[in-house]
Amino acid sequence: MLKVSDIRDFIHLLDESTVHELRIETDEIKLTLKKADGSPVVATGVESANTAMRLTGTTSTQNANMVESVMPTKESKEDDSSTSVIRSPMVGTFYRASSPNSEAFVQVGDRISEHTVVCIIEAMKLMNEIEADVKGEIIEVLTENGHLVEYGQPLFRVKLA
Amino acid sequence: MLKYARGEYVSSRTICETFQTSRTAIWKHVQSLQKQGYSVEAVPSKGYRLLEMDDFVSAYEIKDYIQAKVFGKLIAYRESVDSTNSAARQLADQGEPEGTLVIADEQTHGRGRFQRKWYSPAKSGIWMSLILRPNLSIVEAPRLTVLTAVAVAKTLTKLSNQQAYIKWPNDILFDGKKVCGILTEINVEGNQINYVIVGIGINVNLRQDELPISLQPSVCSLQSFVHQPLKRARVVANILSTLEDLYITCLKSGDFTGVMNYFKIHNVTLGHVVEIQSGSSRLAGIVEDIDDYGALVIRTTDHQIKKIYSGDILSSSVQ
Repeated sequence: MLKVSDIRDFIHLLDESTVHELRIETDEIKLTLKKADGSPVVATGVESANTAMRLTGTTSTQNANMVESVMPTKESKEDDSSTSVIRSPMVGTFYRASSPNSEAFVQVGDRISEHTVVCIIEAMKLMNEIEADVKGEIIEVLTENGHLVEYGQPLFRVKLA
Repeated sequence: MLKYARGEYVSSRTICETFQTSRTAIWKHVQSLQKQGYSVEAVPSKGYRLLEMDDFVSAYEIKDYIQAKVFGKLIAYRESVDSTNSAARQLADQGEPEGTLVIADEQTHGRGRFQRKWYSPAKSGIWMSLILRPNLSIVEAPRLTVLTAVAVAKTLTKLSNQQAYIKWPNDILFDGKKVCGILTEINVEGNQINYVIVGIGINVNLRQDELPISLQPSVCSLQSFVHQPLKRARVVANILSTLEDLYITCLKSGDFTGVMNYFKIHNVTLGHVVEIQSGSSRLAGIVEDIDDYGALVIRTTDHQIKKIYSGDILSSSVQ
């Protein structure tokens, strides 16, 4: 888990290098650090629904560093190793059922296995029945029926078992 | 043999000599053909002949016209099936190769997207599904929709001498009415495409008054745009040929420009004001462009630019 001291280290490293912009993404956090010449350090924290993080950047040189954005990518407090996120393999529209009158493929609480169809992603009348690829239990639906999803967008959170 | 005689009589003696068999055996075979639906005319002292009006889509018939190398190499014909797409998926799951075609005279549960009913009565159209195993990323797969639409539009245009148009995303129209629908289903393993099923449904010879009333204003049949009686087998072979050419060319080069150009030039949606239902959103605006993947680029009524990857056009300013 990325700690505030880690981020301070990154700022320091950035400070001392000629690198202008540094982007770090982990399962929990998306961090962008950008050098802004001249101006003093301003720390900005971005609050998400569940977690808030505030940082103070420091600099010991004439280059000021700014923490541009700190974005937690996890939306719950679950430990990483026991959950998995099913993500969209393409841009398209997300459907929870095979037709408007059908029941959803899966609901929160349902047990799934690798070949369980969890949703349909559709683009250009190409229907992609998304299989879970993991074994466990659906604990959260991360997007809404009929919404546009991007490549890589989280669709379901699964408790692995 | 009767086929190659092209409507001329072939004497029993000739048949007997060619196949080294007896008149009785020939007669048994003729009866069996007649049972299958072939119109074999038997005239004493003249012989047998095959009447030319027959229109079959068995593998045997299609192979007569086939020019494609891979598409249609394996043909699974059924007289009646629930859905050729469903049947093709089963075959694909069993490992059947790219180019395998499932074709039926009738679908009892023909479907469009979202289990919408696709009306497919016996012998009235081409209801077929092709297995593809493209070397493409999943992200690129929707381009196959554009490619198929263009292949069908090109083929039907050539057959009828009238330009077929494409209504986004992939309906094929003559005179503003739908003659063909295409439904594509993809199966993925990890982050690779396992197979893509391309389902093509073409209304060939249903007359307006034979269609369900709800469909009459928006649907047409291919036969009404072609002067000679159509042999569905020939149409199938022609489509497979054009589709295979485009498929091989585009996938080899990675360049879909030619296909995209045709898609945009013969498109009734581009440049028009539309109202579109995309998933749970409804929006209206002018279709300013179509991107490299076939997505609509719409300038909405409140001047935003939106890309639409899926949806139904509810209304359009097409004349």
